[in-house]
Amino acid sequence: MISDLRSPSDEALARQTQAGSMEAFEELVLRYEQRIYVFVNQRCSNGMDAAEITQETFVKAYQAISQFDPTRTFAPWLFTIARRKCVDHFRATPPASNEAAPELSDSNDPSELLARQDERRHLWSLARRILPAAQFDALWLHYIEDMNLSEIARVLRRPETYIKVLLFRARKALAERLKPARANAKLSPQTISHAYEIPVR
Amino acid sequence: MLMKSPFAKFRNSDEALETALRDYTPESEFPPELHHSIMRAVKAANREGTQISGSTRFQAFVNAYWLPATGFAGLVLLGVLISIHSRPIATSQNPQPLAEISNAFARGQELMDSLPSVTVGPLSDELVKMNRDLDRTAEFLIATLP
Repeated sequence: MISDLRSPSDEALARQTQAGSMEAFEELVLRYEQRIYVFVNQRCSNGMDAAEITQETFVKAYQAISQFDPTRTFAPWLFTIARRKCVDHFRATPPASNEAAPELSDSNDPSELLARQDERRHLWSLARRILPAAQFDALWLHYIEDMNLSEIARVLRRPETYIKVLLFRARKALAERLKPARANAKLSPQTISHAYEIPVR
Repeated sequence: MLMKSPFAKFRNSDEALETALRDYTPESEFPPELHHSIMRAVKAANREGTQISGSTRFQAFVNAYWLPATGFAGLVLLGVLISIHSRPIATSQNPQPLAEISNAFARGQELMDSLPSVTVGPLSDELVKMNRDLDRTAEFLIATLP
C-alpha cells in the first residue's frame, strides 16, 4: 500500500498517537487493518479468529505505542505484534489440522476442476501447507509486504542471515513441491488431483 | 489431452516463482464491521488505561515480590526486639516468680511432714537429702537475685 506523499507517514502518525491523538491512530488502523487481517487469516481456520486476533493486535499496538521508536519503520513493529498474537492465540487454542486449506476437487472434469481453482489462493495455500510457520512468515513479509531482510529480521527476531536461509529454503521447498507435476506433460484429472494433494506437515 | 496446470506459469524458473509470489496476493474478504469493532476496543482500552493508571501503580507496588519477604522479616525483627526489651523488666519488677518458687518448696516440706511415718519411713533418708538439696537450691536462687 503506497500512501500519498502529502499524507503523513506511518511513523509520523505513530508519533502523533504517542502525543495522544486518537485520530492519528485511527488512520494507522485504516492503513493496516486489511493487511494485518489477511496476514493473520492465513494462519486461522476461520474468519472470526482472524478478526479477533486483528482486533487484539491493534489494541495491543495502541497500549504499547509509547514503546515504538518513530525513527524506525512502523510496519515491522505492528507485524511483530500480530505474529505474537497469532502464536499466543494458537497456543491457547491449537488450530484444526488443515481445515483452512482449500480442498481440491475430485471431479473428473478437468475444465470444471481448473475453473474452480484460484491460482493466487492455491500458490499461497500451498506455501502455507508445506512450509513451517517461520518460513511462511518470512516469505509473506518479503513478497506480500515487500519488507527487506532487516525488517523481516525485526519481525521474526532473528539475524538477517537466518532470514536469508529461511527465504531460500522456503522457495526451494515450494519449487520442489511443484516439480513432480512438471514432468507430466499430459495429466489426467486424477493425476492433477493427486499432484495437488499436499501432505500436511 | 494436454492439461494446463494453474502452476504452469511459474514452474519453469525460480524467477517466475518469485514473480508469482509477489503478484498473487491472497484475497480475504475483510469483515465490514471489523474497523468499528477495532476502534471501539481501542477506545475502551484507552478509557480503562486512564482510569486505572493510578491504582495500577499502587497494585504493582503491592504486588512487588520483595514486599512479603520484607514484611515477614520486619515482623520477626520486631518480635525479637520486644522480647529482648521486655525480659529484664519482667525479672526486676515482678516478684511473682520468686514467691512461687518459695511456695513450691514450702509445699514440698508440708507434704513430707503430713505423710504418715509408715509411708515415709523407708525413704526418710532420701527425702531428707532431697529436702536439703531443695533448700540449698532455694538459697542459691535467692542469693543470685539482685
